Amino acid sequence: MGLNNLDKGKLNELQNFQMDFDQDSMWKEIEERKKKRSIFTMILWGIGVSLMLFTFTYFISPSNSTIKKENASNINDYVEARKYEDSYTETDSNFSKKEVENSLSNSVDDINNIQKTIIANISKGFHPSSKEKQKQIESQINKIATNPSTKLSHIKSPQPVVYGENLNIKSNIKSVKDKIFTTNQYSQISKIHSRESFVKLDFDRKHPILKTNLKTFHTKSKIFVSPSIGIGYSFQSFTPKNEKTPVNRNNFRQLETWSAGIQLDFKIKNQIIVGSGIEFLQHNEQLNTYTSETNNIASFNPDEIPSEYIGLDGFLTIRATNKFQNNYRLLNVPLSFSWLLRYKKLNLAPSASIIFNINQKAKGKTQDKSGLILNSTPFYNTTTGIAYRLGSKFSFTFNSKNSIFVNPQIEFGPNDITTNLNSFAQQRNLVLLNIGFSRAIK
Amino acid sequence: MHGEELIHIYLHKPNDIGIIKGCQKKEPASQNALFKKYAPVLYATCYRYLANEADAKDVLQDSFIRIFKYFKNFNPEKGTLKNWMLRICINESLKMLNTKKSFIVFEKLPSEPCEQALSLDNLMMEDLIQIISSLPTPYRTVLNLNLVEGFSHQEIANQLRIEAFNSRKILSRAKKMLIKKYKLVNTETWV
Repeated sequence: MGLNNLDKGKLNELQNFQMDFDQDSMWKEIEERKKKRSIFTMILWGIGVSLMLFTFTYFISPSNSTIKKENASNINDYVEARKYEDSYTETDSNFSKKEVENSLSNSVDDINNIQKTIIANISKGFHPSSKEKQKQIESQINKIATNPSTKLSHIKSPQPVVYGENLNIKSNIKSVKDKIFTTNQYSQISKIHSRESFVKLDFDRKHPILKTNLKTFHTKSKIFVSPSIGIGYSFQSFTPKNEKTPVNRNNFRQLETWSAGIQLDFKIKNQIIVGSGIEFLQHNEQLNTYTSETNNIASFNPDEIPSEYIGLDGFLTIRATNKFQNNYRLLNVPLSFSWLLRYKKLNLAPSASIIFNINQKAKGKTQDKSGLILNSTPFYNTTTGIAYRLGSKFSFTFNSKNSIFVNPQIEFGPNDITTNLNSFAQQRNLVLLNIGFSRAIK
Repeated sequence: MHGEELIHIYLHKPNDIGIIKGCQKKEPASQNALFKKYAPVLYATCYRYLANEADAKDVLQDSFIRIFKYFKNFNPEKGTLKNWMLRICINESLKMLNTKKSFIVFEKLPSEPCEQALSLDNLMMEDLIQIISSLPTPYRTVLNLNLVEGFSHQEIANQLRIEAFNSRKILSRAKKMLIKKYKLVNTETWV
């Protein structure tokens, strides 16, 4: 025989040998997979484009240094404000700084009202030129400040809030608005508010240089976008159907779980955040199967068999191990509720989430009760239902709009994720560690 | 590789040119035509490697998904369409064998040797494929790659990440096993 031991004609015949199978059903499956693949690709593109847009907007937004440069003339305000801040903790010992900070955002509306009144007064041409008027105004402020029951709405026109040393009211209204809260005003109004709230927020908006001291507070931001990735480990329990006690199935070995997702968070109250988004999750698993067969030694070429495998009875026991890599891909829509606690730059937000699974795809092999190895796809539901997660998001705020976070979570899965074909009810719980980035977009 | 003459016949057919152009544009009709034309041959190839109908179908499906996805990479000037597709199928089959990580030391053979001697020349193709499929996985893989596809031992060693001398050794053992089991005749140059 030529051609490397096989006849050329026979070789051609072997290479072009055709085997029949159900082509139509396979073509249908291929078309379905192509469709699913295109949807998945679109989702990935969507996430990718969103991330790129997000990154782009992040980098083109003005940095703090730019703002600082624009407001360099306010450095005196900054210095005096710092003095005030330093004195604040000493003089107002009845309130801890933390308490004041917690009540900070409550004053936003009041401040806005004051500001409106001030602007209205300025536009009417009010000018506190008289020293007597100024004294009168100061006494009013002090009176208000020392009376806890006084409401800010009691401040009536003409009001002292344009009280300032170098305030040029005759210049245009816009420039006045920018200087509306000078340090002294800030100090005075703060005194008024010190018994019910702390008034730095709007001042901070007008004087961004002070943001360095206030950057931990996102009190103005209402909507956040948070892309994240995660890694975890799943714990599965198998219970024979119609029974209650789980059994050990050690041949299923759980491997890593990983996730990627993006979420929009809405601050509906000062400390309550509701969020939702989309999440892709993949559980990896290894199925080990063992089979053993006993064969007559005569079936084999003796040269091929190491002596240690041959039994005394002349029979050979063959042990075969197969390892199958399985994976479960899930597409989830999480709905989360967080309670935001703040500790300066480091924030903590305990959260509870409901996870709606919209799709599950099991790929790999499974083993039934009789030991048969079967394709696992038909044995798992295409949607697993609702799961619940508890977690705590630790975030580090590095400027007024951006923060990074680590979010350890525990997921309690639905009781059974399998179809009727599966002889075992299967529950999957999960420990997941997400890391991500949060950006205030509004 | 052997059998190139036969493979080239496919390329010269005008139908193929239309299919190639259609597949490059991702037209479903052309993809279907490509599938119907080559699926039986590719399925037989997958079966030769995997010796299992279910696995062969899985791999064939994966291979066609890959073929359609990367069809833009196919360059008709560098090789034939069938050759390119065969290569993808073989790679996918080897990947499947690797994924399963079957390290079956000895696989079950029929309990008794064949009573009648078989001649390679007279064997039906189905029988030959069954005989090859009955070999343990490593033996079957090396035999297919070397004898049927025509890869050198060095190429096989690179693909399977083994030493070249191991490839030779496995092939020799595969041949011995077949000769002993099936009493193959007309195989003087095998051993």
